[in-house]
Amino acid sequence: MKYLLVRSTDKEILKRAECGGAITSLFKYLLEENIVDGILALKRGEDIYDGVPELITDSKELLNTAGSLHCSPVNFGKLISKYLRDMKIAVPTKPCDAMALKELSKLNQVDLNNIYMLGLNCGGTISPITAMKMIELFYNVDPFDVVKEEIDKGKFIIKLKNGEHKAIKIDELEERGFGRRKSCQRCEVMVPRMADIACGNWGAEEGWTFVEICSERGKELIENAKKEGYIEVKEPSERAIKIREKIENSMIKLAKKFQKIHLEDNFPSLEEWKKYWNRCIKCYGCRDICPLCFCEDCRLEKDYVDEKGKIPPDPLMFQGIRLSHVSQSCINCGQCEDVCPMDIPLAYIFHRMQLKIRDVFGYVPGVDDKIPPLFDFEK
Amino acid sequence: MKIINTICPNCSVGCGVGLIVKDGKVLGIYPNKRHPINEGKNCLNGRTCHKIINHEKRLKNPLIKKNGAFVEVSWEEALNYIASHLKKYNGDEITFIASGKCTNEDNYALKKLADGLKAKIGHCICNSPKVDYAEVSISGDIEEAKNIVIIGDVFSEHALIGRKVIKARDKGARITIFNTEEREILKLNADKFIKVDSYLDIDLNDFKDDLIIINAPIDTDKFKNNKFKNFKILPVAKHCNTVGATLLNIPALNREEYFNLLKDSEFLYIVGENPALVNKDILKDVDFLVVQDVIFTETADLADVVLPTRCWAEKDGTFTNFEKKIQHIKKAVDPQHKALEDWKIIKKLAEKLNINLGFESFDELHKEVMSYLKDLN
Ligand SMILES: Cc1cc2nc3c(=O)[nH]c(=O)nc-3n(C[C@H](O)[C@H](O)[C@H](O)COP(=O)(O)OP(=O)(O)OC[C@H]3O[C@@H](n4cnc5c(N)ncnc54)[C@H](O)[C@@H]3O)c2cc1C
Ligand code: SF4
Ligand code: SF4
Ligand code: SF4
Ligand code: SF4
Repeated sequence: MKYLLVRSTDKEILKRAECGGAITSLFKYLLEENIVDGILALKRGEDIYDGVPELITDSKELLNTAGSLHCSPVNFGKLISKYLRDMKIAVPTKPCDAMALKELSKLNQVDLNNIYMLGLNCGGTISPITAMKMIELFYNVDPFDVVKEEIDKGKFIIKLKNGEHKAIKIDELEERGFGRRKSCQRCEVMVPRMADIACGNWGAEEGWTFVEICSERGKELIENAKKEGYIEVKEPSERAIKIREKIENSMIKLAKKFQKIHLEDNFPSLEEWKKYWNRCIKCYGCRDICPLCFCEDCRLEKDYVDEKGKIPPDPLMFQGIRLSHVSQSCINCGQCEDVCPMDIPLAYIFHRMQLKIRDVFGYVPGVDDKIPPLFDFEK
Repeated sequence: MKIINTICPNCSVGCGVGLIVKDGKVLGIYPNKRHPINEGKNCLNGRTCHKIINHEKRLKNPLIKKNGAFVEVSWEEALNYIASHLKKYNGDEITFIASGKCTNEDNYALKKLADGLKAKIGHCICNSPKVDYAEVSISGDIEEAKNIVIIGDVFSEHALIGRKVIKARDKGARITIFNTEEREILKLNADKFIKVDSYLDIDLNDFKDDLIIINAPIDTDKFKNNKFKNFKILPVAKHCNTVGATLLNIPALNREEYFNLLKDSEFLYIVGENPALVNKDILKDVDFLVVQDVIFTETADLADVVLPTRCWAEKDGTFTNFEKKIQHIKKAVDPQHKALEDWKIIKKLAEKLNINLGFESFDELHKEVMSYLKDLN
């Protein structure tokens, strides 16, 4: 049983969940059976654009975390490595979450034995403010009238208060500079097979979650949760498995196309990079959010003791040091770029450099089991 | 562990920021990408905003100076002591200093107490441009402007305004920056950088159809040819709620006015400000000094009574940002010590003086502030 269709046995969960509520029910099982201390999940805040990470320890609260928030580009990697290392937890992981955690475990920053990763297939996230602007501009709708959004068959679909649905092709939105984040456009890992299970709507029947079992632990989890009555399980059709595979492959192709456009054809010129670096206010935002930047004793601060307050910093030193430390492990999560107050397209450089390192060493961060090739380079 | 989304307290831009809370402590910050002003981006000032919570100089208990040394006392004793002294002065000998770092609710309560005592009140804007906020209509669509003139340095001091300027420049806007210091970041990001000895030398007549962003501490009334007709003006105050305090009709004082008022007071009650940092002697003629603050400052050191207040992460309330947008801050944690909200201290003191401030709870106070601000519009 590698592929399964899973559905929650809890009516309330089914009502709130994105698909069959597999994730929420498995979390409920793990928490109620005391297998984990807590669940780090995404809670819906003010509206559909507002995803707020929260560690849930009371299974009743899990209901508030059910459902997918496509306009919430969070990454759980650093929250876990920095604040939850001492706990046994479970977490929903998009590929970029799962890759960050896998990479962090190789760098001894987290212990995956303590973390159940319940994977979410991911076709991309949209930045919340971009989503609101886009809904206003292209859907002619007040963004606050939207009560639900989903991504299906290449379209971003919104459901309004009055029950109406409106859909526009993501391609069209992206041609106009809206749609998914740039890193998501280039992201070529759609199914998080480094997690314990990978869940999605691709290939699923209405009301069920399509689950790919990715580890022995994932397999046991499903079996036990089924035994305890949290979920029901059935086999998907051969056709469903084929359809899912086909969509995955075409999404990977699309991502490679975007890689070529962003990182080669339209890669900023040296002149343009100079313009970008001239804006850097040395706020350390990019470093502090990067799930893979973890040096306790950061060289960036050491090399700058003499020039504290000097902005912009010398990019060769500032980004150069970070590039040499992080680029081999960069999983292109786009967090650095998201938080840069000066809108410098940072992930472009890190992702491009990673792909070059991949060409030479064949190392795929977050996916390969081996440790990063240059990990020992400074010792 | 959870994340509480609130507003950055470190400047008037009013960016959103999330606080990571675990076991009743704030451990760090988390981006709030849903916030319309900054989309999860914060400058270094904003990214270290939580440091005040566990600041080494954090005030923990009320203090009374006895025989030249501070002694920790109960709230009851401190407030009785203040009230008994306050009763000795006439209204015109008493001054309250409000703060652009406090919430609208805090400042409103202070103003009501001052009014009840017929005392003087003001707040200091010596680090901000002085403008008549009630008059200026803030129509600052920076990103769409074609010509932007900046007086001051928004890149170092209000980076999230700097971001909007850069976006405008990417769309072809022309940027002119005036500053009294040559700074690399300004020279690199302006089409024209002009070093001036005094901002008052700038002739506003030179600009037409421009957006003028001012964050230098200048009195805009004093500009040559100040008619504000040919262009839009966008003042950016230093503190998170300078604009709010001004809109509550608490007189906004530039340095000269501020220091004159301090010197002129017998009984002085300073909330959240630290004039002694600039000039130690300015308070030497004050008869009785109360300082209410989050940390022990140079001014607190000179006080007769020091009252510990909660910092922004420990209370609810509102800030009014540079665009006059009212935003809610949210309590993330309880204080680890006896600090109280500013408004609550003021209310307790008013009770000791038999003055009824007219609200019983935060909710009542907040409602009253909102309706006061609405009536002004
Ligand atoms: C951004 C995004 C894109 C997706 N794209 C695809 C796709 O292209 N193809 C596909 O087959 N499936 C995709 N999925 C997965 C699918 O939407 C369902 O989440 C999955 O099928 C599980 O359904 P469920 O009913 O079992 O989950 P539920 O029981 O509803 O639980 C969902 C879990 O996901 C968490 N979550 C919600 N939003 C996020 C987020 N932004 N980041 C991290 N965790 C989050 C919630 O906290 C909750 O724990 C995507 C999911 C997300 C979040
Ligand atoms: S980077 Fe990849 S996995 Fe992460 S949100 Fe974007 S598309 Fe999903
Ligand atoms: S460098 Fe940027 S894109 Fe790469 S892992 Fe770090 S935050 Fe993510
Ligand atoms: S986040 Fe942007 S502005 Fe801040 S240090 Fe990094 S590159 Fe510079
Ligand atoms: S610009 Fe101002 S409000 Fe925004 S993060 Fe920086 S200090 Fe805070």
